[in-house]
Amino acid sequence: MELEQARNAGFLGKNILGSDFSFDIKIKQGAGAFVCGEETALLASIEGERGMPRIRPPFPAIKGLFASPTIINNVETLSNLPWIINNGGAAYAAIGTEKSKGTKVFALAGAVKNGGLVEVPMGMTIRQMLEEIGGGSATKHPIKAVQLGGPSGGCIPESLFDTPIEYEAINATGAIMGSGGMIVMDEKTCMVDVAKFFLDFTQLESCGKCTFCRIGTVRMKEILTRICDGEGTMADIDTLEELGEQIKDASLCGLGQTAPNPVLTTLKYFRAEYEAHVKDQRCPAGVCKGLISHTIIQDDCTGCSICERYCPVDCIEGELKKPETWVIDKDVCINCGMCVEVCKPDAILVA
Amino acid sequence: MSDQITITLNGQKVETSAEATIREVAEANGTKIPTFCHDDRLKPFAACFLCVVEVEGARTLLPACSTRVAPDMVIHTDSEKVHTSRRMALDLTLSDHAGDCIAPCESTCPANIDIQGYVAHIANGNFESAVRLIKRRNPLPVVCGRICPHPCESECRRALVDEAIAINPLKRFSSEYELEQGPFVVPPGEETGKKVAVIGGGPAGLAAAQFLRELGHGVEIFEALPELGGMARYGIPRFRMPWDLMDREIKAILDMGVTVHHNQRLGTDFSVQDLKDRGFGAVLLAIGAHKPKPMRIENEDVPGVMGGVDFLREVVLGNEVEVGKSVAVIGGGDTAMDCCRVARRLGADVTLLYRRTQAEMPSLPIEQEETEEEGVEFRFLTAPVEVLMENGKSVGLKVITMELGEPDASGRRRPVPIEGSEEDLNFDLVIPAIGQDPDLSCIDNEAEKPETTRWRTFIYDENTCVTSVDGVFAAGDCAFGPDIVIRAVGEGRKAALAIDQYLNGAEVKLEKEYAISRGRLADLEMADYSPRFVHKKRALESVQPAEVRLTNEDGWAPINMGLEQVQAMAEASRCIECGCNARFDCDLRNYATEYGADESRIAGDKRNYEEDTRHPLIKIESDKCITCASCVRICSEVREINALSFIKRGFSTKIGPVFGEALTTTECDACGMCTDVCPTGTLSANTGKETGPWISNTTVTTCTSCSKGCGLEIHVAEGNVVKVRSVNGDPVNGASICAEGRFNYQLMNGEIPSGSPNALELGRNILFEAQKVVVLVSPQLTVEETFAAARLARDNGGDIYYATGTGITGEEKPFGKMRGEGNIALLNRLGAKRWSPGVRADCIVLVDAPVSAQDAEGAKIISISSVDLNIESACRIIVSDPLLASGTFLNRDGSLTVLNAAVVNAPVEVTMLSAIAALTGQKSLTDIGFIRAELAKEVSELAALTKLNGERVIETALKPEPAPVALSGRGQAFAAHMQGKGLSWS
Ligand code: SF4
Ligand code: SF4
Ligand code: SF4
Ligand code: FES
Repeated sequence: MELEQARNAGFLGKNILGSDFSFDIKIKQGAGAFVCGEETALLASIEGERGMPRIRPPFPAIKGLFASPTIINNVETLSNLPWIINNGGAAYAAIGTEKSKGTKVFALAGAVKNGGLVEVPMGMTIRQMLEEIGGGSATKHPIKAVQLGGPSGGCIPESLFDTPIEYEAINATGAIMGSGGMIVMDEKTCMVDVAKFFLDFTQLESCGKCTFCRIGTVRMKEILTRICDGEGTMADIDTLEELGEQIKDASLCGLGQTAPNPVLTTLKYFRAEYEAHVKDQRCPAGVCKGLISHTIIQDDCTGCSICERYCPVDCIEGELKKPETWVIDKDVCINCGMCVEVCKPDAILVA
Repeated sequence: MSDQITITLNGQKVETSAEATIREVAEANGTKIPTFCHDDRLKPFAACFLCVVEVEGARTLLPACSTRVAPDMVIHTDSEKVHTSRRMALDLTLSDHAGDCIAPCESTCPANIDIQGYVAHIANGNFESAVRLIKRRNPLPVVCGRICPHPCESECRRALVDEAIAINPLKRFSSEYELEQGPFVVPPGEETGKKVAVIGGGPAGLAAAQFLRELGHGVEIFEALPELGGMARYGIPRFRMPWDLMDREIKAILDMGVTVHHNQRLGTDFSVQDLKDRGFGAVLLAIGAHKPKPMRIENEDVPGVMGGVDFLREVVLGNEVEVGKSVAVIGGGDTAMDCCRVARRLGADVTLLYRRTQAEMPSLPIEQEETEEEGVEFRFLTAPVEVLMENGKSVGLKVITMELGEPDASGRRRPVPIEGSEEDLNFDLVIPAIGQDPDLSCIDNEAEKPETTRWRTFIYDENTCVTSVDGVFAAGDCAFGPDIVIRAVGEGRKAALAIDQYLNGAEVKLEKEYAISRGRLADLEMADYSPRFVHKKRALESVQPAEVRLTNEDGWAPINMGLEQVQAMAEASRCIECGCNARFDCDLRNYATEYGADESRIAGDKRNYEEDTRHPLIKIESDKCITCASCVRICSEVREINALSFIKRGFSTKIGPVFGEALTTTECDACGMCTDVCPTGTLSANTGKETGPWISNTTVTTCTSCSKGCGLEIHVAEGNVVKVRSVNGDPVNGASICAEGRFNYQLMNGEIPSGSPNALELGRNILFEAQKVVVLVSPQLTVEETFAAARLARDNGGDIYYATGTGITGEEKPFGKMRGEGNIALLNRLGAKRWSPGVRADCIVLVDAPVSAQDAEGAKIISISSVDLNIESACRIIVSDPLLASGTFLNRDGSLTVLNAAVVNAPVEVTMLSAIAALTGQKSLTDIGFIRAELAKEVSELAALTKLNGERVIETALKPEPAPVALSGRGQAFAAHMQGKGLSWS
């Protein structure tokens, strides 16, 4: 609609505003495949081909869409243009740091009080962002890490929260700026589970072309699942690391090259959590269903029966207002955690 | 000319064009880069990542197939990092690969005989080929065919359909059939001048002897007993293993040039050291295990007690053995059964004592059955505790009753004695047949004594047969302990290969080829197999009834009559061909071997069983696909057809006909190029047992089915064409071929039409009587055949014509068949005219050219073709297929393409050229050299004909003259062949 208006107003199309400059915009909707964020896959998809990356060179700038030179820009980049045109390049460059100039938009989400889209100048530290903009932890547990850069980004632990937001410093941690997704995680988040979650996504989104990405990511996910189920071995952890490094090293496009990041960074900063799953058969954050059990602490219980009502498998029983009668039948319990969510006095122990 | 730049490749400075890819530069400099997804006919794709190399300064490894070189690039193609990554790529690929490289029967066989291969030969009625194939692994098929307990059959996948294939009876049938005709003596290798002493002429020693001779080494066998054969002769009664057959089979080995020293016992008559001193470069210990295991009970060394193998040997040697009236045999194995049956034949009542129940008996059920039928009494759960003695001689046994307790390590329930159940039994002879050990006392006095184990076997390396003494090897029962004959045979071969390496001064190291398996029989699903085949019962060997067995030749005549020929062929056709059709040329398999890859290192979820045979010519086994997309790309990029595509994404990505439909519903025109570029066994010709898979020899020849002159790679096995492929890198037609070039060899495997009796003579008579002769040729003949046909016309005072067509419908682009076009430049130069219906003659000679009955009205027809020309002929001469022709072909751009006859057992001996020569009466016309010289004189532009240099394509100065022509007779036959398969081709 807007394009139509612009065209009618003579801002777009042939001979813009009577000049001899012609320019038009066409919006094309993709099918939503993650890999089509990769530029050559994007081009293939626009051409009506299977969205699958191809080798560069030739770079799109030389031979891109329909074999013509093509410049590919992100919407975020383009949206900076009006500001730069109005205020001048120098003003834009004055924001940010030496190497990373300007601003960056983040999608702040997870365990922070204030989530949402935030635009910050480059150079701000993660801690500043979390505290000054995010308003700190939204739960009663302290923040332990952020996942930065979307599904193929990496986890940055609390100890590195003073890292400034600029490309080089972020890359040095093993994470990437990427799409600007920033997910905040508190102490009740299991890092193995997080890694599994992201791998599950990328694995499904692989276009299936390259061996390492197509099969390797699935194997990583399988190993992570084993670890979360308490069936992992120490050798699995080594294989995971080896696979991750190899996939990064031998994939054609960004998807494969970054898919292992969540695993590699959590392995780097939270290896102890992996080992706890394997060696002690324990999920320190109390998340992995295969490794936890739910018990009612009768001393804290009020006998309100809300857990009984929410339990999807009806394995909680007790008499109203009689805390000493409330128990969970562990043989039936599926460790879904619903009772923990609903229990007001926090009387359910996950261990 | 593009810019030249310098790069560093594995430490060497290399000059190259700046346009080249890393792979091109590496290959040009002799460095092989592994690949799945690259093919010279395709654009770079970069998917498999097997070709990765390390480039200094690059962030990641780079795919060599598609990365261009840059000035001063420093490339490592063989670093640790590259190797690790390639291996990981293979591990991952294999982890999602489902197949059986080699059939389970072959991998279960201790000697790894190519069972699927020989069973296919038997199904085709090719018994000699079957035996040639068997003898590549087993020099004693007749012996094994009679007595092998066939572990192969217990893993046979046909059992998932109905019943296992009768593998051993098939081996027996084919090898005994062949023994009658031959027997086949394996040709010895070129003499190396080195010699090997083989101590022991049993299965291990004999096998080693054959393979050492094949490798050209001299072999002398030292045998302690009077005859060769070891346990096969001295441990198995001759009603099971007839001596005459065994003798003839052994003779075939000795005929390779093996010297035998009979009655020469190690330790008594000579020592290993003596042999070394006498100039033997290596010594193989294959002395077997001939010492009965003791029962470890009181008085077992007294007279009246005789070990099982001792008993059998004494009988074979013809020595008097006192069996008396009643005999006890102790044990449950095959030797125990044999002892029972021999003792029966010597006239005794026999009781078999076994300490467990029948279910635990290790001997084959059929042996137990036959033994029982012959009147042997089985007493189970009975163990001897003491030999009863009188006057220093055994008179019987004290036995105890047992019951079964907990399972032991072997999974069989351990027998435990029941207290107080002892009982005394009287026997004249007690034969403990509870196993045997090697007798190693023969090396007691050796200067350098090979080390031994506590089971009295030699300590040796199971992979190389190397013992602790340099130059001394061990194989067979004396090395691994007593086991079945075929295992000893397998070891004999292994030892021969190892000895060969040793004698050549190489490191002794036997490499195993990679092979993936779908799993053990017990772990597979019947549902994946059973519904795909028509069920059919297994063939049974016929066995004499017990009375006959015990009386015929006093009980010594052979008892098992084997299979009949028809039975054998039908049985062989039941085989479901488990081994991969790509086993001999699979890139995945070859690289896996080279890089030591392993499918189980990173195992996980994998593809399911999937086979699509809906297309009559192309089979798709997508469980073997590695998603390199070469097929999709050759189909779309080169053929511009798009019959194949990607289906789904990520891990579930599959390759197949669009929308998962049958290939027959797509635009596919069966060119089969996808099968050529497929690096695995996923895409292949949808053929059956007539094409193997077997190891094949290849010849490159030229297709004469249209004016293009494509290169064909002809694969021949045992004298039959089994496959035709395109020639990668061929300059003609984009190195691609069409369905006709690929599949018209099938015409040869079909029914060959029969010619007229005495056709050549008949033809000459007809020509002699004819007044006006016309020779009508197909423009698809070779240059030489065309010339000869022109001479035939000239000599008979007639004219030569070529068959015209209605139009050229072929494609100009470098692919596909050029339909209806012929380059008639040579025909014109030889004075040929266009055929027109008005031409009248009283004799028309058709040289693979069709003519309508109407046009030929009033003429006698002599037809010459490899196929039926579908016209009533006075004389029909059938010649061999053009694939078997030599010569040159004039293709559409005027160059000559060379034909090299594939060497096959041609169903027809006469070639096109020899047929024409016979009709003219000029022998010289069979001489290609003569014809070429004549042609070069007559048609100066073809002077190149006399200077062929081994190239397949030679430029000439003859200007092409394309014209619409009729299909050749063979072209028509192929179209009909395709129609018969429900495919269109015209
Ligand atoms: S495709 Fe290759 S690796 Fe796979 S089963 Fe066949 S031969 Fe073996
Ligand atoms: S069906 Fe044929 S190939 Fe398969 S295991 Fe049996 S004999 Fe071997
Ligand atoms: S079927 Fe196609 S994609 Fe699969 S391995 Fe063969 S050539 Fe490659
Ligand atoms: S990626 Fe280079 S050959 Fe497959």
